[in-house]
Amino acid sequence: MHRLSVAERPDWRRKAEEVGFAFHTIDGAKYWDESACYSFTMEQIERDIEDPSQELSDMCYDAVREILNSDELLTRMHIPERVWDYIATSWQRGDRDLYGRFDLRYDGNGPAKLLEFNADTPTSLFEASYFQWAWLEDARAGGIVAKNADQFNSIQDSLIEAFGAMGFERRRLAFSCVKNHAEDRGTVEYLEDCARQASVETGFVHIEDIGIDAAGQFTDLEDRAITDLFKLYPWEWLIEDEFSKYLLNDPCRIIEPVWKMALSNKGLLAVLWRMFEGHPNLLPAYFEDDPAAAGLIADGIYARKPIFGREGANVELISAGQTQKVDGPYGAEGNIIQALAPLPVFDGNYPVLGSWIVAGKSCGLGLREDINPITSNSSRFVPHIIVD
Amino acid sequence: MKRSASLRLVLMGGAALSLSGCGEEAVEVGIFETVEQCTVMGYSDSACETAIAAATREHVQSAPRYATKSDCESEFGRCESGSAISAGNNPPGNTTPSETPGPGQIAQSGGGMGSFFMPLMAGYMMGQMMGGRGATAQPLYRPMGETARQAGGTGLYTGNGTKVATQPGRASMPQSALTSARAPAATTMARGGFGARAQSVSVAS
Repeated sequence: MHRLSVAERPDWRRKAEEVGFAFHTIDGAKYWDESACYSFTMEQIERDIEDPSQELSDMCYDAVREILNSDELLTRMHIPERVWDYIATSWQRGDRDLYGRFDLRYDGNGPAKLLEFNADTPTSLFEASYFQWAWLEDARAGGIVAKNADQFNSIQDSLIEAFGAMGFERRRLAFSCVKNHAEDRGTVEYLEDCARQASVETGFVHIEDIGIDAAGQFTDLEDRAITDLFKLYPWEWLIEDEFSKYLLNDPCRIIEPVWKMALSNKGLLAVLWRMFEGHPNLLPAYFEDDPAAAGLIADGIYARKPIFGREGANVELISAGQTQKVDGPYGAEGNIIQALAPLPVFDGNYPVLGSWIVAGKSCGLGLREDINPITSNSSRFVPHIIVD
Repeated sequence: MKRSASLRLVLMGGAALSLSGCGEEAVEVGIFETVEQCTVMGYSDSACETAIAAATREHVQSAPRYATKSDCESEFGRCESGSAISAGNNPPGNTTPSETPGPGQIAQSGGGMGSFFMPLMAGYMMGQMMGGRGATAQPLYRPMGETARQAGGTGLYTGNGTKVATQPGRASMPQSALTSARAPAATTMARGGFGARAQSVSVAS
């Protein structure tokens, strides 16, 4: 694994804008960054990223079963009791999930370590799936990288295949995200694009515009009943919103399904360690109130992560008496304590590997790097290649 | 090779064809109550089958809805129970779409608070869209109550209350009749019940 400085395509901004990648630059700062790329060997990709990600994905499905069967775990994960039946029904019915992203710590040597699983509202999808792929086509043709360079990336094919297999024939899937977030809108538009390519009839409605009719059905702005909804909006927020009382009657099929609440919670990391202690791709992790957490804290090298947290907010890294911390609104529901695996540094940058799972299959990689050791929403997406 | 061989986008960046901007050109439509009527009028079996399937899908999604059976029956005579649950979910490993009721069939009742009542589909209207955009179809209903009295007597109506024919057969009508016949699901009672935390924090992760 190396970080290579490479030439940018002179027209990459125009190319980004042509395909609707409007958030390539966020608040004046570069988000898409092709002035560098990471290179891996095929062995590193297959042995250290692809296969372990598949294994982690399988373990996560086992963990869902474990969590839903345990009132203790549901309670510790602060999943409200009023939604337990709703979640159990969704799981038992076999509602299919679409996608998720494992964030891995990896430096080219030894096993990758799972930092967290973004199982409900993962983003950086379009960048990894499409734009990174298009970059490689240009970079190979333009001599920016080797002509035989490859990439771990069949994410888009996997998404289209997944949409085609989820039973949307003769149905209409409404895509949804919050207003005024270009990145979220871009991600949802991209997913809608993939669904269309799978011949799914689609529509769009902002989360805030969803209505309710007299029969308890959600409606879009044209008053059409929403029978199927993709929402880029966290489940733990959805179930606190005013309309959540209608959700419990199961008025429509929702993607991600509600059982993903068992995975999109940092408590998962503690559950996985409890179930698969010593697994090479896991870091020791405990609920903060678990006596076993005291050992990690006593060692003085650990991360404290809020059970419900996003974009690095409220994450604290403690090492050798030093605390690095990102402020944010999370943490009221409690934290987990995870052994600290400091991110490697490449030319002053801390990369995190985002390993994509689509319909339960490990299918691609995207990297974000930050000049800070806690990856936040100010990080930059950097493409990767495989060369032997 | 560990990557996709080729990728494309059909929607992003304005790649999709705009569906607006069509004039009010007249198109020929077929208005039928059964597949048999459709084939007798010279349409192919597959076109008739495809049209009734599309109309049935539209029916399930957007038929007029009523909270009580009596409200529905006073307008349409025969009604069926629909529910969000019966229109519901597919288990893994089962990619067959859940059965949706055709004309004259009674939908399964899902019961519970999510249930409602809707008229039986009485027929369908099919036609060829201009500009090579393929065939389309809409469900039709036979209202008996106030809708029919106000709109000009018995006959076949779209879900939003436009009378298209008295009897089955061919007809000529504006293309918009084929696309705008999509009926409102119901009256939306309230909006804004989701997204309370959207303004404060980024969703992305």
